[in-house]
Amino acid sequence: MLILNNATKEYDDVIVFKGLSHSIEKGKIYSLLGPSGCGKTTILRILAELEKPSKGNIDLQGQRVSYIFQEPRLLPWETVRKNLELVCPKKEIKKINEILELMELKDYSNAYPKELSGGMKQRVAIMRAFLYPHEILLMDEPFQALDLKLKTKLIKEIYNLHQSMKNTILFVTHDLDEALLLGDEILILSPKPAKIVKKFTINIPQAERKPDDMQFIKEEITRLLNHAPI
Amino acid sequence: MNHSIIRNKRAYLLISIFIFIIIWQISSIIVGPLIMPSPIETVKVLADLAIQPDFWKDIAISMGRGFIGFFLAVLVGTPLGFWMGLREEIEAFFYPLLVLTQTTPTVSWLILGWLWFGTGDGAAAIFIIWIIVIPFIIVNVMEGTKQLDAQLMEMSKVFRIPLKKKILHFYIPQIFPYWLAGCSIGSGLTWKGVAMAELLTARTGIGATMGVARINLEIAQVIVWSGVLVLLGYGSSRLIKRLESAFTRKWR
Repeated sequence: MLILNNATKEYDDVIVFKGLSHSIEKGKIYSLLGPSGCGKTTILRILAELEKPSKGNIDLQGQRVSYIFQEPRLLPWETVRKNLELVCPKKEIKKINEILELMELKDYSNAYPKELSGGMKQRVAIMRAFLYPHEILLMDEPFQALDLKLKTKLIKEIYNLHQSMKNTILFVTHDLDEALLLGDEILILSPKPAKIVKKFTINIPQAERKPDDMQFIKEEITRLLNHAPI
Repeated sequence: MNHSIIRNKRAYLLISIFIFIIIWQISSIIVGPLIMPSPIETVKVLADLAIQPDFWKDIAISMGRGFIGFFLAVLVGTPLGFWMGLREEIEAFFYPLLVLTQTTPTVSWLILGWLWFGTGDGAAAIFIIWIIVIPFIIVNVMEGTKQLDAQLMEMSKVFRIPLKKKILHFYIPQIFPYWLAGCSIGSGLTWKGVAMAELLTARTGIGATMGVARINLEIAQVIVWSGVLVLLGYGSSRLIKRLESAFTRKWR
């Protein structure tokens, strides 16, 4: 399914990407890997309709989009439960308890964001994204501020939630390990103007992947990232 | 440690009030009770006034006018400030009017109110309070709206939060502190404005009664009424502070 069709994004003199096309397969996880500032976030923002492409178009074919931002973006004046309720349809409100339990945050359901650690806040943001009815989940470097242990744990949790929902995930990151741990397909982006320079398909099941594995792919991707054509 | 600081603060407050009363007493002795009635004499006048139903009636009338003028300013100023904060062209359209209400001296509104609404039922006083309070409500709400957290507003867009929920959970909590700050300034102006407006434009209420006391050279009465206005101003500012802390205590 073609979601980005020959899309171009420019700000004044800067071309973020030009003639970018990308299609997705339902239920797959795509890791978009590229150097910082290459326009990865802009791609997600356009898909979420927070920005418009300068040329070309997006077509999500009626699929709804959910989003995990770089920052948790929780309402500080609402409790964890209320933050989740705001995006959750009434008939699925029961799911909140289930997901709180799954993410080990049940005891914090009446806490305010200021009472949570950075990792806990990001987990609430992950729960919120999964509770919002969607077919495509966009994730914009959501583990940036977290340590490796927590990062690995959250990636597992996201994968489990994805397994039960079968949503399509577009995961933007500049961290090779993260991309390899979660993605079914790894798309390597060049620096600005961004284009997809190579695509890798990972056939190892996510549950069996470890950060230290996949050395061969890692080396190739690192080489590509270092010598990506401009 | 904390406890002793609080205790000290209270002690300083009491000392300050005590010194104020002493200075008042001394000046009364120096200039004579006709010009400056002593604290005790003033309390006696207060006691005499307090047993008269008219005293309470005048306070009630002024409070009513103050409240109506203030309420109308909030009622019109809040949505207008919000709209001006959201859209630059709306701000530009109302900007000249805002500057006009902000910079016109109160005395001009007093005279105009008096000429337009005449004396009697207090319509002039309500108008004057309304016009001096409204710019502060507008400016504060507008500022609050401009300061809306862009990241949170984007989040509301991604999750397609319906308008009603957006107003309740995104707009109001963010603008509320600014709105309260505007109300706080406005409430202070209300009690100062109500007396001034009534002095010139009304036959009842605190200001009108102060006018009569002035003509009769009843300085103690003027002081008593001033005290009443101070209490009204202090009371409303405390109330607003309470509201603010009740709202933000849990999550800030």
